[in-house]
Amino acid sequence: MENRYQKFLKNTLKPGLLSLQQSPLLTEVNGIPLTTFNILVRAFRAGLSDEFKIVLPHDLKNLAYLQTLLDKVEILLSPGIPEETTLANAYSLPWLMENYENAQKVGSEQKKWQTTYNQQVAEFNRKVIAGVQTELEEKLPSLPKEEIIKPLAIDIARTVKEALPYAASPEQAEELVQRVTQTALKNYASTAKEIQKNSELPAQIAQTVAQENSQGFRELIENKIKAPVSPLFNTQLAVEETIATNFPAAARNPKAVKAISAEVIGRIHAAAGMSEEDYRSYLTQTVKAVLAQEKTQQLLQETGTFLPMEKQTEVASNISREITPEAYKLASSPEFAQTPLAGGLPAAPTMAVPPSPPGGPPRPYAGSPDVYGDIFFSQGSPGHILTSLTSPQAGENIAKWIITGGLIRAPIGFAIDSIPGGPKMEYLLDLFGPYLGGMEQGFRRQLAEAQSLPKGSYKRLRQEGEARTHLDIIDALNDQIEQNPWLGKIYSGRNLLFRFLHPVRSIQLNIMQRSLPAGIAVSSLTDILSAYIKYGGYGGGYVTEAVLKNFASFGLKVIGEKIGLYEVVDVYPHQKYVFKPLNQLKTKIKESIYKRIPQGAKDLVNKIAARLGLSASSLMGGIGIALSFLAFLYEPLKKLGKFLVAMLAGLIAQYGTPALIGAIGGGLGGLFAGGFLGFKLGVAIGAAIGGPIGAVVGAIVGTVLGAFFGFFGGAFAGAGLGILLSGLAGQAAGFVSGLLGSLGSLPSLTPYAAPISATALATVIPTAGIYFIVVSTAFEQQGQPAPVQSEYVTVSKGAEFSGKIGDHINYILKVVATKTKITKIKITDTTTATCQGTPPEIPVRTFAGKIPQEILPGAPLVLTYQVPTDPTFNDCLITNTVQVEVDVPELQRGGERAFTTNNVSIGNPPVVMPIGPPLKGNVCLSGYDFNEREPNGIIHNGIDLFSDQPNLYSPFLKDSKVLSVCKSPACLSQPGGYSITFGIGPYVVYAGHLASPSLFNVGDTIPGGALFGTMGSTGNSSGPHVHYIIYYNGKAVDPHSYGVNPPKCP
Amino acid sequence: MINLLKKYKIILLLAGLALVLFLIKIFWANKPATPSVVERLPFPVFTQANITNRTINYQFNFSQPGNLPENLPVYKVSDLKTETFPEIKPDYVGSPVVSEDSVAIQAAKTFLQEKGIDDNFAGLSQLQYRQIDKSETFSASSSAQADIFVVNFWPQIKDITVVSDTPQSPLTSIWVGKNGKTEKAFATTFSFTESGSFSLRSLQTASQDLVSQKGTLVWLDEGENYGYLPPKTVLGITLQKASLAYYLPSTNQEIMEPVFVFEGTAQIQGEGAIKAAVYLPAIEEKYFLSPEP
Repeated sequence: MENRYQKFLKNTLKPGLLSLQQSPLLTEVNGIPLTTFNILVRAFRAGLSDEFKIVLPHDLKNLAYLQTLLDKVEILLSPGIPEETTLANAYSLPWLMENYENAQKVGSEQKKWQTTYNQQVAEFNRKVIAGVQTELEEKLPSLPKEEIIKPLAIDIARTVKEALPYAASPEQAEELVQRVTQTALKNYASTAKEIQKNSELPAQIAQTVAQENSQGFRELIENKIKAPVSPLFNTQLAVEETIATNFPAAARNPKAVKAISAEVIGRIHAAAGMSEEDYRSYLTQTVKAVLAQEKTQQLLQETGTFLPMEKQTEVASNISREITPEAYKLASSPEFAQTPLAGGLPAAPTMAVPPSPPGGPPRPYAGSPDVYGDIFFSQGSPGHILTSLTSPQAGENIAKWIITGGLIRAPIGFAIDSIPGGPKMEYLLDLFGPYLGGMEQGFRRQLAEAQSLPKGSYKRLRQEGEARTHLDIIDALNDQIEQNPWLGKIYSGRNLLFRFLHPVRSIQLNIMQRSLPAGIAVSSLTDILSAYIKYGGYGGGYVTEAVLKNFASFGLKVIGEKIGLYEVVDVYPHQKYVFKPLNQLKTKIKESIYKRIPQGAKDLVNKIAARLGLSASSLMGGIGIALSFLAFLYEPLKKLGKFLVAMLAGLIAQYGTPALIGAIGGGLGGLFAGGFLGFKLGVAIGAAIGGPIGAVVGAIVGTVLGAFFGFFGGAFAGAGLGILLSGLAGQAAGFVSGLLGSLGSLPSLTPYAAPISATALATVIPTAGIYFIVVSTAFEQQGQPAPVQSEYVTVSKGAEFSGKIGDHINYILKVVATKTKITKIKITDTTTATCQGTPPEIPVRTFAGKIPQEILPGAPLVLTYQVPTDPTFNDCLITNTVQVEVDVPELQRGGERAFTTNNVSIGNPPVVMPIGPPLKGNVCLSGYDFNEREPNGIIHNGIDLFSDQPNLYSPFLKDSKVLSVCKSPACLSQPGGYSITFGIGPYVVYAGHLASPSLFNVGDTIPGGALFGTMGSTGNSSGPHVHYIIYYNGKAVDPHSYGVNPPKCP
Repeated sequence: MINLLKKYKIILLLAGLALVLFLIKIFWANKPATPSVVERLPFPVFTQANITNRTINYQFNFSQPGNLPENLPVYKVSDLKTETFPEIKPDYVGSPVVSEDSVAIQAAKTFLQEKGIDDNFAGLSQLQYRQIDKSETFSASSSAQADIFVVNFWPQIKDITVVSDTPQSPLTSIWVGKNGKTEKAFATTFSFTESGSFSLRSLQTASQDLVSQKGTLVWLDEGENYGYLPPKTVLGITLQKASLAYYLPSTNQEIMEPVFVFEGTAQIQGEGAIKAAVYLPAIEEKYFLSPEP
């Protein structure tokens, strides 16, 4: 029997979702161009709250999301589900339903309007093109109509149309002229000399046509504004127009206008909760923040419309002044009154506030019922929330949170400079404050549980790390709330965590693959919060950007992630990821074997293994080991020579075709097997047809045919098997050799067999730069550029180590004020170990509070400290990253940063990779970055680096081998000029445009960090730089992921 | 009689020896002499393109390139050096003065004269247009688009072009900016003296020798890609042009020898057709010190 909430779901949400799913509106979403889709999204937004801004672009875009919702409803409709469970899960669904209906209605009207509007646009386009074409035909009658006139007319018309709304001003008219002229000359002058002779003609025609059609285009725009969409959509257009009016520079770049307006429109809701004055101030800050975004600046720079900082404030103020009345109009509109935002807030829940944690300072919102710990992981869209609620109370509060979400998240930009007030904020304070305490309790419990597990166990490591990470965040949040009371009012801990974790979790794997150099951006959660607020707090892109930049310090939920063949076993705040192979033995076998067999074969082996009840790797391992023994026998057999088998083996060795073994073996097997089967079948068939004689004939025919087909079938099958197994055998032999080597019975053959020595060799390579090491297997994706070092402070660091385990690593840290006095110095020193075995734990050092209050130019601050080593440091790469953050009082500027990294290599670290740029000094990005498209269409596979110090040094910490060198005079006329390629194992680097031929030759060893050449301008270069490429397993990878993060050259 | 022979056997023996020497002188001295060891040549060392396969399937699609000489001299080379002139005037600003290709070529020749480089090293010239973007340059399709005119030169000896590792690699190259300034350059110079004349293979023999895998694929057009490029597998080469050239080795080899330069199109596994060039020594095989590899 269905409970009452099930009945409700069945009669409301389910049919609603079904109708939406079948609606032509949504069906078309998947097939129509993005621009139209955007209009639909806007329409949806108009009737929906902020939550749908998350849902729509990502999920509703395809109907699969709707299906998911329906599936969840079906589950909720299952018989036997308790009423309270349905209630908990369904609480937010009616609200969803209302908004879907609203969106459907708006979208339907929009569709009708769109059809008419499309016709108007088509007619307008036709008219403009026809006008241009007529003019061209008159003025250039000799040109062919179809080949030249028509396409040129379309090109000119397109430019005219793009420029029409702005063609009124003289400078924009001039730009139009230039664009049209360039287009005409570029595309047509080579084939039509008349155009070259009359180069001014296209622009003249364009201007004429622009003037003639200006009014028509305005009408078109007005029609667009009149589209039957919600007030929010109209507001969007109004915002765009306002920006265009107040910001003529941006008006030349429609993309910039859209980017700015998209952010501004997201803040419209905030108008409902603020005074007009507050709102205007808030909006000013918002626009200013958006203008300051790197992304916006890039858009503006595309058309040379860069906006100076002082101008940004003025523009932001103008825009907000224009937009505010619109927003207020919206907030008082009937449509807005129908949304949950305007419908009043739900009553505050009654909650007991537990005491602060033992030993800790009093928390502003310490403690709450533990149930909130359960809902911690319910981040995401409403769909995700549905799946993760575990208690009625949690569901209820989450639903309330969704409803009020738009209000509590919006005013972040405003919060930077002003303290908002009002009853709603006070209410939110009461509503969400306790979440923080609840979660704290939950994670303390998790920590206690973890600590009861066996010491050193993987489960304990994982649970403990996770709990510590979260508690650290909560600590930081509490600190922030203590320091900034307004933050607590706006950002309850729950909400703040949600805003952080949602983007973090969703992009988690992506981040891991990118191995972002985030640790250098900030060093503490305080910085994260500052960055978060600075970046505006809301808007997926910007939040994501902020979080991305700070993720390494954040280190959330990466424990347990499987990255390639590795698993993250330990992540602590302020430290980097520590990886451990899932299982060294199994992993190595898989890694070696899988690389050599095609996917189809892998699938086959997996299937066989599944049938046999074995894992694929163990099966392959078994095969590999067996074949390795065969491989051991192979050489003695070949040497014996007198025996047929050895002769055959020798023959095979000579021809080097493992397939031949399989072919001969398979063929012989097939010959006998086929012959035997053929004989049996032939006898049976022959006897049945022709009696005894038939049996004899059948036996002969059957044997011959069977043997014939058996031989060739077997040969082909055997050849294939031979090829497959030959690859496996080599690997397995290598593996077994390595294994035996590690046991001492054979010399070391593989890295696994490296002896563990009590006294390790150490290499200390201090490098001034901005990199650190992340051990991962996936570096293919583009990394994020690191922030530019401050010109007011520099930091350098030396390291000394005897190489003897047990001794200390002595670090010497030097902070220099380069121009003027610096104060409020904070130093965060993070050391990470990447080791063959379990890495040592090295605490983060923060020097805040122990250093002078100020540093004067010429009087550097020098700090020394020691890190004791123990056997866990054996075979480790110790990477140390120092970050200094200071204030510059003279400029009233805070947060100036400098950083440096150095590495100490002890013994034989597990992964040898290139680290940092191959140049020293002031390294900068002089040309193309990785993955940038060159004018010739080629994707730039490396990074162009320049430095004031031209010497090139090996980026490897260890010896590397030279794989190729281009040093003959002929190289000077090749694209890369003089160049060199060298590497270790899977890592290979290339340096091109060298000034002179490298002194090294193919096969030479380049010691770690050694000089290998000089930066130059040979080859296709137009100025001194080095084209630097890093390859991993033969594929060019992003140098940003290897500590090459230079700022752009001035 | 026997006793007489025994008595004068030494005299007879010497007489016989003298007769043999006489006959040798009479009959062998007029035969063409096989080159002595000192007259033989080292086999030129070509730099093979980055390929995986040793055996290449050749197809020929060219006609006889006029009258080929039967003999050509080889030259002893000394003072071989390549001088680079990087970043002479690293600015590309100023009014454009290079309006025609010939202006760029003349500017390049003037530069060489200023550097004291003999005109002979600027025999055959070729012009490329390049445009600048950031710190790189890229091929431009016309002089109007060009920021830089790259003037390449190859020396010529008796109308035969001197080539280096690949026929596409100039021995001298001058980058002339649109403003007329020389931006960077390199020039290869050397002294040479004639050292004997040797008969050449016929083009037919050369073609057969190519089929016998005696040629070396020295160039594959990689376009503007660079870095650690993977070796290519050549499925076959269709040769469309054959010419004679002098090969100037970049290594310490002292002899400059005539070579056949075959140019055509190579079919590359997984990539399609790209331009290619093959070298084969033009001198008859018997004149080489060691058999051809």
